[in-house]
Amino acid sequence: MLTPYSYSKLKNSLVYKFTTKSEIIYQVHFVKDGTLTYLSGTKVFEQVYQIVIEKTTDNTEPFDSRVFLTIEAIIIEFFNDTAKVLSFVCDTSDGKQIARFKKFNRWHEKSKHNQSIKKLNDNYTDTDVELFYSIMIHKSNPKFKHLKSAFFSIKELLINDKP
Amino acid sequence: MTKVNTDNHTKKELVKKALKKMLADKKLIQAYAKGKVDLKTIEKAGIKFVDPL
Repeated sequence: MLTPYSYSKLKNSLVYKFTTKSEIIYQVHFVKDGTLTYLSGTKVFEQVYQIVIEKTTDNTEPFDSRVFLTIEAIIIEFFNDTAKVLSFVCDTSDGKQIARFKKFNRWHEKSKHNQSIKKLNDNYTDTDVELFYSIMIHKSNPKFKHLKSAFFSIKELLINDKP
Repeated sequence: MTKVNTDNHTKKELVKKALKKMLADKKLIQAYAKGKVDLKTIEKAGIKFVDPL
């Protein structure tokens, strides 16, 4: 049975790291995300954290399902506190944001935790960028309904903006 | 439903601006992870790493 790679926090930093069997190193950063608090004008989004996952070695990445298991394990640990919310925006630098978004969706669908951790998606296309944005909320979050409602209020704005 | 607190046009612009800022922050963090920018640059951009685990 496949297991996640072991991950650890880098010494004197707030960065998590894991190394795959192909010697590919991933770093995982978290930053406080005030975007939704700012936009919604409510305090329901106070505990939102953006996750940034980065492959720091240049080697080509062979398919490795343990990477998914490791990121899933980190996300599960994150949701030990069900009041927290995780946000994620897909990297657009190489034009592969749709592929990333779909991959992230597939991971979520495959996850055995997808009933307890809900993923809400938003996207918009502007002249210079096509942006995919998601948040993950634990079903037991006491503010679940408010969070969902506030997220969709913001999403609605962008839908209405489309020609 | 929770209300967004300014008029519609301004709200749309704010949403776009905020999401773009989020993306820009992400790109900066990725550059930091690859050693292309230093922590000072990250901090100047107002990015603060946290450990929520």
